[in-house]
Amino acid sequence: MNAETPVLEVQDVYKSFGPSHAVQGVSFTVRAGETLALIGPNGAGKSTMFGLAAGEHRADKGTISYQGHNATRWPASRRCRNGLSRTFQVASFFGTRTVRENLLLAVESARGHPFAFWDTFSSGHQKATRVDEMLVRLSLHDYSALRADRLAQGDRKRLEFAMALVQQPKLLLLDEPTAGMSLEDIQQTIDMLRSVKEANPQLAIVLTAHDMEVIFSVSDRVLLMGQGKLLLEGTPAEVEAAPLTKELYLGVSAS
Amino acid sequence: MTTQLEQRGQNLATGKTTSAKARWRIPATLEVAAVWIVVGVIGPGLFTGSTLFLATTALIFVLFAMSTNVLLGWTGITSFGQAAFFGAGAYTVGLLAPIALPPLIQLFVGAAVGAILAMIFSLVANRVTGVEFAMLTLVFGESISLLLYRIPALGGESGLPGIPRGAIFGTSLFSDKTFWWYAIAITGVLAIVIRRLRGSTFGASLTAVRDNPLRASALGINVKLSRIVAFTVAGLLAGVAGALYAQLQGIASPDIMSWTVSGEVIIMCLIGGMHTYWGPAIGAVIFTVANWALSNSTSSPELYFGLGLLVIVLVLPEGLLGLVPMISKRMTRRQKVLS
Amino acid sequence: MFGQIFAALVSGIATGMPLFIVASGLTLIYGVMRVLNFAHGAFFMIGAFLFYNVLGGVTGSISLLIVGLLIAALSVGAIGAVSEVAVFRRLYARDHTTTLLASYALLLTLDGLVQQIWGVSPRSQTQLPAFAGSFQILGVRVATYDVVLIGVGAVLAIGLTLLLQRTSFGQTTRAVAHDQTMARALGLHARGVQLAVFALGAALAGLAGGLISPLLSIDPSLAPTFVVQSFAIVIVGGLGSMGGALIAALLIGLLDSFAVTFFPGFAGFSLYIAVTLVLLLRPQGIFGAAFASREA
Repeated sequence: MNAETPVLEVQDVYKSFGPSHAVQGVSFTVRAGETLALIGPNGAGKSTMFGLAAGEHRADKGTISYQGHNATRWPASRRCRNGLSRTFQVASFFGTRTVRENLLLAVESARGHPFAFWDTFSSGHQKATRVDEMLVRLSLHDYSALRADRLAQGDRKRLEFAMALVQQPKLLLLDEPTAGMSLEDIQQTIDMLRSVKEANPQLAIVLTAHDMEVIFSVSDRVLLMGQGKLLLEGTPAEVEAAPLTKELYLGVSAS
Repeated sequence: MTTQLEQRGQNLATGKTTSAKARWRIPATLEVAAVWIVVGVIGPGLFTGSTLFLATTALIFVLFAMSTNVLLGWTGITSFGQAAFFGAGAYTVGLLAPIALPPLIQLFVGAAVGAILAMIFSLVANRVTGVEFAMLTLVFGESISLLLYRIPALGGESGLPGIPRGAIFGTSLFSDKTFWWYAIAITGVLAIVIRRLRGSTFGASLTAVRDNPLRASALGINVKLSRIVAFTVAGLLAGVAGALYAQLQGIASPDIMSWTVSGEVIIMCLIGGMHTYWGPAIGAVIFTVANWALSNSTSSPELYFGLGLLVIVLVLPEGLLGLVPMISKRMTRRQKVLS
Repeated sequence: MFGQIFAALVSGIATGMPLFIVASGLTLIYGVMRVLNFAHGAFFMIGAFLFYNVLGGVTGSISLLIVGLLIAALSVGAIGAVSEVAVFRRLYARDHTTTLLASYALLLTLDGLVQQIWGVSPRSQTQLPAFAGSFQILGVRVATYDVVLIGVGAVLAIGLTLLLQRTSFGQTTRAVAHDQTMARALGLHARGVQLAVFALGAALAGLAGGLISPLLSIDPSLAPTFVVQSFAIVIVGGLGSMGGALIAALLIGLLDSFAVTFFPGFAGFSLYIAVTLVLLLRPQGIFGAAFASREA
C-alpha cells in the first residue's frame, strides 16, 4: 500500500432490505488522517451506509475497498482484525465483564488469533500496559475492576471509545458518538476526538451525527445523504451553506 | 447529581474490593485439582460395589455435562445432539476392542472421532443458529443413532458387547476400585483443562460470542469459527466421556446415542447452573443419583425430571448454584440491617 | 414399470400425509410464536391414547370415529391452552432457546404423566371396518385408510391456508407473527391470538394422534419418535411455513416409498437424507419462513 491509497474506498454501493432501497449507488473515499462526517435526515441511509462500511451489512452491489484490498465480502471481524474499529450508537460492550476485561478482549480479538487456549485471560501481562494506558487516557482507571454494566451512561460511551482506540485502528467508525448526551458531555467528546486526532495524525475517522456542532468542530469533509443517495460532498462550511442542507434539515425539524 | 456521585463512589468501593480479592485467590485450576483429589480419595471409602459403580458413572457424566456446557453455558449453543459424540467415543472403543489397545490410546482415538464428527457437523450446519441449529443437532444425532441400528458391523440393537477394561501401567482396571482411580485421573485432568480453557482468551471470546455476537464480530472475533471450535472441543470431550463409559460398562449400546440422552445432559447443566464452572458437575451428580433413586422407586422418572426442569427454566434460570449469590446477598442485606 | 411407479407414488403420498398432519400444528405454533414445541410429540401421543380410551380399542362406527377424534382434538387443545398460560406465556420475552428448553421439560412431564396413567405396555386401535380394506385403482392396490388420510390431510392443508390467509383471525395472527408489539399497539389482542394459536396447534396434534393411532402401536415411545419426525419435516419445509411442511412431508413420503421400491437399503433413511440435503444446500428449508418474518 502506498501513501496515496485511500484507507476506505466505497464504489457505487447498493443495499436493499426487501422493498426499501436503503443505499443506492453511493461512492466516496476516506484518506489517512481524514475525518469524514456522514449526515442526513432520518431514513437517509446513513446508518445503512455505516453498517456497510463496518461489515455489519453486506452490499448487494458495488465494492468496498479497505487499504487497497477488496473488503466487500469481508465479515466485520476480518475488517476489525485489519485495522477497522467501530463504536455503536447505543454503547455496546460486555456488561458482565469488568471494564478492564472489555479492553483486554478488544486487544486480544484484534490481534487475530483468538484461540489462545492456554493463557489466563484476565491477567495477561504483555498486553496489560496498553490497556492500562488507555484506561488512564480516557480516565476510566478508577473503574477498571468494575462490571461494565454498572457504569454511568457517559462512561459507557467512553468505555466503547476506549475499546475501539486500544485496538490501534487505522480507521475508526463512530456511529452517533454524541447521541443522547448532555451538552457538557458533547463538549467533552469533541475535545476527546480532537486529542485523539492530534495523537494519531494518520488515523482516519468516519462518523455519523445529528449534532451540527460535533460535525463542524471535528470533521474535515461532510457527506450529505438523502433517500439512499449521496446528495452533496464538501467542507463543513460548504455543506452548511448549501440550500439543500437547510431544506432537508428544516424539513426534518418541522415534522 | 449527588446521587450519581454517590453511586460512582459505591461502584468504586466495590471495584476495589473485588480487585483486592482477586489478588488473594488461589489459582482456579488448583481448586479443581483439590476437589478431584478429595473426591478421589474419599470415594472408595464411602462407596463400594454397585454404589462405587454408580459414582464412577456419575463422574463420567460430570465430564459429559462439562463438555456440553462448553456449548450451552459458554457459547450459548443449544445442542440436542451431544449424545452422538458421546456415542461415537463409546463405539470407537467398542470397535477397537478386538485390537486390545491400551485404554489410554482408546480414549485418544475416541476423542479424535468425537472431535472430527463434531467439526464436520458444525462446518456444515453453521449457517443456521439458535433454535434451528438446535433442531439440526437433534435430527443429526438421530440419524447417527439410526445408522447404528442399520449397520450390522455396529451390532444393531445389541450394540458392541465384550469391551475389556484392559490394564494401565501393568495394573488391571478390572476391579471397580482401580477403575475409579483411572476415571478420577482422566476426568480430573480434563476438568483442569476445562477450567483453564474457561479462563483463557478463547473462553472469553466464546462468552463474548454468546452475549453479543454482533459486538463480538465488530471487535474482531470470528463468530462462526468460534462456534465451530467450541463445537469441536465439546465433541472431543464428549468422545472421551463416551469412551470411558464404554470401558466402564463393557459395552457400547445404541441407547446411549438417543436424543433423550442429549436432553438429559442438558438437564444436568441446567440443574446445576450453566453459567458457573461447577454447575454442570453438580447437576450431573444430582441427576445421576436422582435417576438411579427414581428408577428404583417409580416407573416414570421423566415426570420428576420434567417438573424439576420446568421449575428451573421458569424460576431458577441460573440453576441451583444461582441460589448461592442470591442467598449470600440476602444474608449480607440482613447483616447490614442488623448492624 | 408404470404400475410400480404409480404404486410408489400412491404409497408415498399416503406415507407423507400423516407426517404433514402431525407437523402442521408444530409449524403453525412456530410460525406465529417462534416457539419450537418439543411437547408437540407428547400432544400427539396423548391424542392417540385418548382416542384409544374413548373408543376402547375398537372403532365401531363412523360417528364414533368422529366423536373420538373430536374428543382427542379438543382435550389436547385444552392441554395446549393450559400449557400456554402456565408455561409459554411467561417466556415469550426470553430468548427462543429458553422456550425450547421449557417445551422439552413439558415433554418429559407429559411423557411421565402418560406413563403413570396408561403404563408402558403398548395398545392397539382397530380400523373402522369400512376403512380397513383396500381397493384397486389402475391396477394398483390402495389401502382405503390411506385414501382417508390423504383426504383429511388435503382438507387440513386447504383449511389452514384459508384460515390464515382469508379470515380476520388469520390477518390478526399474521400481524402478531410479524410484530407482536406493533400488533398490540394496533389494538389487536395479541395474547388471545397466541392462546388460540397454541390451542389450535395442540388440537391438530391431538387430532393427528387419533387419526394415525390405528396404524401405530400406542405406547409412551411415540412422543420422542414423533418429535424427531415432525422436527425433520419442519426443517425440510422451512420453519413456520405451512406449505413448506406439506411439500416436505409429501417429498419425504415419496422419497421413502421410492426407496422401498427401488433401493430397499435406503428405506427408513429418507427423512435423514432429506434433512442432510437441506442442511447442505438450503439450511433455512425449502420455504424458509414464508408467512412469518424472519429476524434479520
